Amino acid sequence: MLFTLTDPQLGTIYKSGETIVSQGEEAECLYVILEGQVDILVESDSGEGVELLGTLHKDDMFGEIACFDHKKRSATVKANGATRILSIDRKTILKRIHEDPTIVFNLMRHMSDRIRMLNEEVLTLRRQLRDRNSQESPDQSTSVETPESPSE
Amino acid sequence: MELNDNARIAVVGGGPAGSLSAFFLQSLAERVGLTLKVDVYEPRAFYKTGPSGCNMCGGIISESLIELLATEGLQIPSSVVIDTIDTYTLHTDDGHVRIRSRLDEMRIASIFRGGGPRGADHQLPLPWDSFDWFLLQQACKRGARHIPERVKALSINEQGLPTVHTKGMEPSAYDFLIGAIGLGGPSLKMFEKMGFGYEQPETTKAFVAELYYGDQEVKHRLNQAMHVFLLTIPGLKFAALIPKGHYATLIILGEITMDLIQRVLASPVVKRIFPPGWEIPVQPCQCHPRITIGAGKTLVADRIAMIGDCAVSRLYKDGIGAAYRLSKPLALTAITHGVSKESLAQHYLPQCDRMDRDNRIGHTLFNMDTLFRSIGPMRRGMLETVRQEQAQAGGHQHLSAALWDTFTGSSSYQDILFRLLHPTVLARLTIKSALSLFRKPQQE
Repeated sequence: MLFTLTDPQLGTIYKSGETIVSQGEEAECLYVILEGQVDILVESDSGEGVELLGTLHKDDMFGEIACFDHKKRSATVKANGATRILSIDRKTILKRIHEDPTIVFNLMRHMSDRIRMLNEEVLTLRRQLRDRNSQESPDQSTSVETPESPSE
Repeated sequence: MELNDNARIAVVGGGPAGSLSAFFLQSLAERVGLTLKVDVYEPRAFYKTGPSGCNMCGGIISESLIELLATEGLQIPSSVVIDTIDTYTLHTDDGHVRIRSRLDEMRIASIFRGGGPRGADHQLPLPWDSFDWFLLQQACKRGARHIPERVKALSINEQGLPTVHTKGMEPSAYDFLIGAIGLGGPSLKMFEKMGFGYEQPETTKAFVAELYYGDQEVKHRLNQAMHVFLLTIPGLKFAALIPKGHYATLIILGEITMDLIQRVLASPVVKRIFPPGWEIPVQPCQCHPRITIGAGKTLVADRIAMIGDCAVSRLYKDGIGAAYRLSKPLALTAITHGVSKESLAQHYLPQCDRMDRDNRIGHTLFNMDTLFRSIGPMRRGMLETVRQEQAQAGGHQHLSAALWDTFTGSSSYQDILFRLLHPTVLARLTIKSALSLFRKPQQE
């Protein structure tokens, strides 16, 4: 007898380009990427196409925001290549958080990583905007009033 | 008795309870900026095949545990997952019914606790990894030290510190000693002899056998379902066949005797799941492990705590999940409140007591099931109720969910009881049971 690992594995397999969650739908789960990667896409305000917000990889989580704020999905997530995803029922997690609040720590770490990444992007975009403004109007004051910095 | 920087912790036993305790101790310590030296004493090489590497259980990782471990950042790798389950098939003397997962996804894993069944090592390296070895390695990645030595004795030294004695090392004193020794006889006696009042829990025996089918027959016969047999055989709590790659794991729970085992194997209901012409191999990899059905006494003392099967575990199901649910509170208590008897009693023991109380509800549920199973109309009523629920896509499936959670170990027995007491379930069961008096039993 020759042993091999049989095919079945945990989670759901998505083909490349397949939608995992859609912007605007109700949120019942958060997700963990077991294998592969996914693209986070948001419909642009003008309605012309979608913007790629970022790409998540193995062991990353997504969909957790909607689980906590009870709002609809803020983005569409699609498989980028063959991907295996585990869904985690929102009620299971919320119930477990009441029993063991420390379980939130790993979720918060993922959210913190994302906030840091967003902070850097915001700063980069502001710098680019400032540079563009100063190039377009070199005679005007280059100081730009900035709102409060993104939170730490 | 707080754990300060460089505090030393000994975990005796490197199964799931011990490994997860070490893992969470290191993880939580890192979060609060504490350095701990955690030693896990485990002489077994879990990657070995046969009894020497095995911790002897059915090898199911429940749906809820998969979710919780994933949330903790502990993904079970593909090489450890031998097979996956998305359906439970309940078999009774009057027919069977399939209960599908509520989410259309593979969410329950079957694993080998050790390196695999005896005899599998004719092919090395094996394509799979041991679950227990994986967990122990996760603890080591967090900084725990695996000491592959058998603990020969335990004592308390002059400073009041628990001391571990092994054959190959000098006696080592620790600030905290965790007993995660399972139900192995000599190790249990060591803790009982320490004199703090520990007594091992009440146990019963199970029967576990790894039956070689070949992966094609496993796929064909078991079809990614766990098959649970609720038969009217005296002394049988339940039996189950679990798909595991090239093997089907047979578990029998009840008053284990050779007679009971042979009656289960000879049952036409069970034989239908075997490949045609297939006979039980002579001496398959099999064992009669003891399983915990009660709670041990005096589980904590100053600088000492017991955890896992030697303390309290979930009744009949999800022992690995029980290890997770207690190892984290134990680690949290030790780090945030200290390791005195008072701290452990105040913050860790209530979790053990909660599990024990839930197990008492579990005992009642299983006893009720044994009773109802013996009554034909009730048995048929249960089958019909579940069939009706499964046929109604998207409807409330209270009985299906209760049975699913019972046999997956995904919910507490208290939650399962509340589902069973739902008025819809009681009404449907009553009506279907009454109607079955006038109808022939139907096969699905």
